Amino acid sequence: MKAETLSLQAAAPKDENRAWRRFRKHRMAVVGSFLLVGLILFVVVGSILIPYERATVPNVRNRLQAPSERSPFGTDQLGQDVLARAIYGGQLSLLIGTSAMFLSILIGTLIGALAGYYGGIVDNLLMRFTEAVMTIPRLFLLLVLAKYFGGRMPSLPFFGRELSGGVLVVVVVIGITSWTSLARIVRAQILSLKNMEFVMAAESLGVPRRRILWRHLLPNTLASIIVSATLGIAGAILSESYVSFLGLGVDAKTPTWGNMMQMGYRYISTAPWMWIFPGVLIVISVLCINFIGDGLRDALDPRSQKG
Amino acid sequence: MARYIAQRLLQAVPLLFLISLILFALMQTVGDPVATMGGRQPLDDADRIRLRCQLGLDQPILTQYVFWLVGNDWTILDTNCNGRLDESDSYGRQRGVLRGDFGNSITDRRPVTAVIGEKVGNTLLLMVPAQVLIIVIGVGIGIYSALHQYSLMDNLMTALSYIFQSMPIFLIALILVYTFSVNLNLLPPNGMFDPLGDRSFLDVLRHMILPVSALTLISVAGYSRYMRASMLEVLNADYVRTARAKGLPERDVNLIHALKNASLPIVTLIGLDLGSLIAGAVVTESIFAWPGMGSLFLTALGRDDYPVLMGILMLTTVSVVVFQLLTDIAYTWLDPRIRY
Repeated sequence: MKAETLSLQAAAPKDENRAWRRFRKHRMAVVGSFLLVGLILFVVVGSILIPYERATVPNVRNRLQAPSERSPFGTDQLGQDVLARAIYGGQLSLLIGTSAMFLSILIGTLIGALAGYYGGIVDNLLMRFTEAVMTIPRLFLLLVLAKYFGGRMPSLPFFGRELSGGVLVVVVVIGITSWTSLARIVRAQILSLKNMEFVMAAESLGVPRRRILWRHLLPNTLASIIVSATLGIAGAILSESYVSFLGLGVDAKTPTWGNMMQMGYRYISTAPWMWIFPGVLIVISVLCINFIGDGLRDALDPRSQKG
Repeated sequence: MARYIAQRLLQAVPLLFLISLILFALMQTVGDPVATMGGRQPLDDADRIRLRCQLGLDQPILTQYVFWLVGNDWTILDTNCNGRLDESDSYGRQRGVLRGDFGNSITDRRPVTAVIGEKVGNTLLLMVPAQVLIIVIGVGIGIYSALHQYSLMDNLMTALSYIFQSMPIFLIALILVYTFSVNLNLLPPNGMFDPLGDRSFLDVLRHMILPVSALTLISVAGYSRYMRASMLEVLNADYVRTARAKGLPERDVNLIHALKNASLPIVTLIGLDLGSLIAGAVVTESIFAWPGMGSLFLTALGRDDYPVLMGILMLTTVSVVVFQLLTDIAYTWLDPRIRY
């Protein structure tokens, strides 16, 4: 036991360095990281410079103005500044993407780990359930659930702002629909790990099963969890935009990139700036997160195939 | 093989039951269909209770599920809705999903099968050409990219496919509409026919171009990446090297030895996509106001018309499951290395 811990500690920093080297060699992942930092700075610094009122207080005399020096992204149908909405909406879209990812990682890891480690009837039940969720087309399930939870969530305070309950709805709905593939990955890895010698050693030492699962097996699946988490953020940002675009997500009172697009779509010809800017921001954020995810996969999990 | 198919079919049955149970449970709580029925005039309580009883919504959820599944023509129900069973009550009228009766739409009382039936054609009209284009173009680009790895064209295609894969489909749709309908005024922005037109095939074709292009653009990227990867893997395989070493012409090596084996994985991808074809594309149909399954789904969701929703969801799910099975069978048939 002790010898194993020692050798693991000795090996860890070297491995991290190797992963870091491989990540740096993935040029697009590095570009993606810089872009993402830029994007985060944009939504954080932007919100310091531009007051929230510009994004959410209508100014009817200033409706549908084309981009100008005063409002570089133009204004929307209520005279709200599109740049300000893109900044505050971006905060939310990124926040929703990340929170939904955490929820789905939590569910996916839990189900995959339990199924893989306990096997038998637990495995059978959990995997049939996973299969059922996987078989229903994602967008249908997302929309039905969004309708189901819609209006039932409390609004949230966030840095002195009031966020509509739709934010929580979208997070929960995306979280509980996007865990399936991770559950399968984790299960498969646990299945192959649990027959390895270090597990047998732990078992023969009398380490409780639960501890074996959490302390010995799960840490070894971390690489795929991290990769899937990163790509999951990108997927969740897209899902949010779909649900909000179809009017079942966050309502327009609280801007997100998705509901900005929904509103912009009604002014497709008269005010294209209303949908072009949030649209481009969605693409950039999803793109660089995907790049980072690819880089992490190459760095942490070199055996896996590239898509 | 026959045993494998039988086994898979037997596995599919409980899966479909489980899915129908999950979905049915969700439907009950989606919303109250009676709430929106009065239109502008809110219903009074007595009407509401009678309506709920007539629609069978007052039954416990498990009973509703059983009625939905096997029908209620075998049991006497309180059909006159006076709160008790008496001699004027009769048997139920539903025949149940297992006997092909998906119930009636709550909003217009027509059978769900008829409501869905008239939309399926429109959806397939959009989805089938799109899927054909996706396969042809995607596979074509994939092969080209693999044979000319790291060429200018390959790099361009890689870049484009990354961008399209990160794009929500509504953005592509909006760009297409903005360019070709608003600015160039070449193609109609939405609908299936010109309101003043002659409803000819050519008219429909003109309306199809933009939605089909949007659907194609968004999915070609994934297909070409997948095809490229599987082609590259095969090109490095030993038997391809052997074929080259034997002095076979490059063309034969690429097209016969490599391509044949590289197309196997793409079969899985196609099979999965074919299954969900019938569901249509919710977002695309909604943007282009295309009267298909996706639009129907959104309308039904908005009106809490759960028999229609259940119909669409179950039809799609069955189709996905069936195509998964067909894919697996096709795969074993195409790849003799796999035996069950």
